Order: sequence, then structure tokens, then C-alpha cells
Amino acid sequence: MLEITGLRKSFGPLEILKGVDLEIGKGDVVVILGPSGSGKTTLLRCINFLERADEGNAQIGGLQVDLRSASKKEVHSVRQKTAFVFQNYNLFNNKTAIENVAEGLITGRKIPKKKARETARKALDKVGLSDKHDAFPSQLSGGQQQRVGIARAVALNPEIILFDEPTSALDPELVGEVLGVMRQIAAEGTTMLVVTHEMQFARDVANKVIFMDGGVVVESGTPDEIFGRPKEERTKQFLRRVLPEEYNYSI
Amino acid sequence: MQQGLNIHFMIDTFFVALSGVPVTLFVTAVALLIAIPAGFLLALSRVNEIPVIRQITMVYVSFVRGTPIIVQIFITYASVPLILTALFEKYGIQANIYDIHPIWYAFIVFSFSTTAILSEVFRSSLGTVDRGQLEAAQSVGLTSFQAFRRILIPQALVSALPNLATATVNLIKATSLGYAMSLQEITLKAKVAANAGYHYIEAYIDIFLVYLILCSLVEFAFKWYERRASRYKVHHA
Ligand SMILES: Nc1ncnc2c1ncn2[C@@H]1O[C@H](COP(=O)(O)OP(=O)(O)OP(=O)(O)O)[C@@H](O)[C@H]1O
Ligand SMILES: [Mg+2]
Repeated sequence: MLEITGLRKSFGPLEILKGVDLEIGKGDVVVILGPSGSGKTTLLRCINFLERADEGNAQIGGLQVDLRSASKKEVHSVRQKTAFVFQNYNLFNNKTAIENVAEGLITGRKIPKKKARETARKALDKVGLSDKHDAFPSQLSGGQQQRVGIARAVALNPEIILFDEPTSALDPELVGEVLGVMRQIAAEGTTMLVVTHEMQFARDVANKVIFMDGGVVVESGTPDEIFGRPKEERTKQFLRRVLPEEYNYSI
Repeated sequence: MQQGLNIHFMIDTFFVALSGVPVTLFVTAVALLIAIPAGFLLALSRVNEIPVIRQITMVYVSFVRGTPIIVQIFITYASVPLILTALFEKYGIQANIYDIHPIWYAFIVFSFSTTAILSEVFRSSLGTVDRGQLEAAQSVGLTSFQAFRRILIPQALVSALPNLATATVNLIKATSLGYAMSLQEITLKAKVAANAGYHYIEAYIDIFLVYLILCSLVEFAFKWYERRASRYKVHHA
């Protein structure tokens, strides 16, 4: 489904990604954990060409591309196969919820307006916003905006959805509704690559957890392996920090 | 001669001044119709850092901003006929340069200066659109061109409206300098009437009032449109 090999990326003299390999199967929910600055966002952005990698290859839904030198056309096809859910939602401010969801279908994919709006309506209903179709982003709460963001991604029916900390800009009381929607679409078999600090979500929903630090994948495995029997010292340290109540005593 | 203001003359001259409004508005409209798309293209060339065009735009903008419009008018009025004469001679065109209506010079001068000003207005308004909007558009499969057309430009235009209103009002006021090219607009018409009747104060008050009314109406129209166009910004979550 998605395979990344040898991904490298520097900003100026600073090497942020130092050769990242990654494999995700169809229907997998993969969670990436890691401290701030470890390159998680950069990794997702390189996959979607929001950032140009310095090196690396990707195979996405049968399409093989060079992440450094992909042509405009290849970039476009990769974006047709992927969708991105942003930390700060990035809804189109000048468009209503339903227009936000339909935009990629109508303008990007040339799907007839009527059909696109039908798809958009279904996607909004799925994320529990059947009464907010005509609201502008400025009229929605953060949680509602992010659910529109998820609907916008889901409606494209992509091979994989990339989530970059979808709940970390939200007020705590709004996190649940967004995670709920994510659980639901995961249960429907959507392939997801999720950067998050929500450990409970990682445990319950992911079938694979990747721990990144300093621009490399330090360790990966099932949630049980990573949370229950971490092998690497850096992983243990990180978990001690984010899950103090468990790790202070048990390790 | 009677004391105080000659109200009768003032009322008559008010209508004389008013009869210059169509010319003023015509010049303003033509200048805007040329300057809005042209200014926008120049702004895009600067935002997207297109080489050469970007540098030329910068020189052009600083030229317009750094010189009084009256000087631009003198330069145009003096140089365009020379250029045209040379061109006409070269291609053997039979035409008298001095038959050209002054309104054509006005179109040239005011389009030229307004384009520069609007390119700055649009440049800063494009800067107000969050980068994430472009990224989101690309991530749902829009090309950069589609992203600009569907998402970025509409938002930039709305945020440009207040400055566009200011530029339009400034343009209306600047057309009063058209009298230097014998353009039959508000100021010239009222001044001619004042010269004939020797009632300068009255004529100036008329000019003052006509511009005040005109500019207030334009500002009001922009405010109204801005409220409509920025509906999406209203906050009642
Ligand atoms: N466009 C950029 N230019 C320069 N440096 C950048 C850029 N984007 C990211 N960086 C740097 O790259 C490093 C990794 O950033 P990245 O956002 O990928 O980390 P992250 O793992 O997502 O962190 P967080 O958990 O805080 O979101 C950071 O040190 C950041 O400052
Ligand atoms: Mg990040």
C-alpha cells in the first residue's frame, strides 16, 4: 500500500530525516510517536510533497515515485491517492463545510457537481455534521472544523489518509469527538498514518506503532510490543515521560 | 458687487461641476478596469518571485510612488505625442497627434499609476492568506493554478477591499489633476465657470461638495460590498 525507503530531508545544515523506512499495508492504522522536533511532521509532508525530500523512494498504491525528483504529474497522482488532515485544520475559509469537502472532488477530480455534493453530504453525515453543511469554518468549533477536515479527506476515498496531530490544537473537551470519528473510519478499513500524542488511541486503534527520534525510526511494532515491552532505551525514556503513572513504577 | 456668497451662482455652478462627474467616473472606471487585472498579475509575479518581471515591477512601483501624479501627467502629456509622431512617421500613418482627445492621456496616466498602487495592495492582501490554504488545496488534488483561482485569490480579493476602496477614492480625487490636460472633469468645469463669473469661493465650495458626495458614495458602496463578500468571516460559533 505505502512503502517509503531511505527518506532523507535537511533544512539548511540541519538534517531532520536521516533515512526513514516505512511500510504500511492496506487497512493498517499506523501511529507515529516521538518527541517534538523528531521529524514526524516533516515525514508526512514529504510523503505528500508539501516538502521536497532530498532522497528517498515511495511506492503508493502501486505507483512508484522518487520523492526527490518526482515530476509535477507524479506529484499530482500521489496527491490523488493520499489525503492530509492538518493539525490546524486548514479548511478553506471562503467555503462552507460542504464546499470544503466537495472542492477536491469537483475541481481536483472533475467529478460532476451534483455527484460530488452527494458524496460530500455523505461524508459530513458520517462525521456527525449533518446539520452544519452550510456553515463556514469561522462558524464552527475546533472539533467541528477538524471533523470537516476528516470528511474532506474521507470523501476523496484515498488509498491512505495522513493525519498530523489532528487533535493537538483542540480544547481538551473537543478531543474526544475527533478521536471518535477517527476510530470509526479506522474500523471501516481506512488505511491511516497518524502522528499523535494520544496514547490511548495508539493502543486501542493502531495495529502498528512507530517510535521516531532524531530523524530515524528507533523502534516499531504492535502496540503491545511498544507499550508493553519496548526494547530501545530511547523508547523507554519517551514512554516514561508521556505515561509517567505507569512507567515510574513498573520499570 | 454684493457681499457674502452668491448663492444663486453657487447653485448654478454646482450643477456645472456635477456635469463633470461622468468624465471623472469614466476615467476612474477605465483606470480600474485596466489596473485591477494588471495590478493583480504583477502582484502574483512578485509573490511567486518570477524573475525579471518581479524586478521591473519593483522599479515601476517605486517610480509611481516616488513622483507626484501631476509630474506623471506632464511627462505623459509631453512625451506621448513625440513618441506617437515618431511612430506615425515611421509607418506612414496620416493622423494629427494634436487631435487626440485628452481623455486618452488621462486613461494612460491613471491606469499606469493605479496599476502600480494596486499591485502593492494585492501583494499585501495575498500575503494575508495563510500558507496552509495553499497546502490544503494541493493536498486535495488541486493544481497550484486551481488553488490560486478557487481558494487564494477569492480570499485575497476580500482582504484587499478596504485598500481597494482607498485607492479608488484617491484615484477619483487624483483625476481632478486632469485639468492640467484640459480634461473636462469636475474641477475644470467649475473653474471655468468661476473664471467667467469671478466667484471663486463659491465654485471651490461646489467642487468640494461634489467630491465629498462622490467619494462618500463610493466608500459606502465598498463598505456594503465588503460586508457581503466577507460573510464567511463572521464569527458566531
Ligand atoms: N520549513 C522548515 N524550515 C526549517 N526548519 C524546519 C522546517 N520545518 C521543520 N523544521 C525543523 O525540523 C525539525 C523537525 O520538525 P517537525 O515539525 O518535523 O517535527 P515534529 O516531530 O513534527 O515535532 P512536533 O511534535 O513538535 O510537531 C524541527 O526542529 C523544526 O524546527
Ligand atoms: Mg509536528
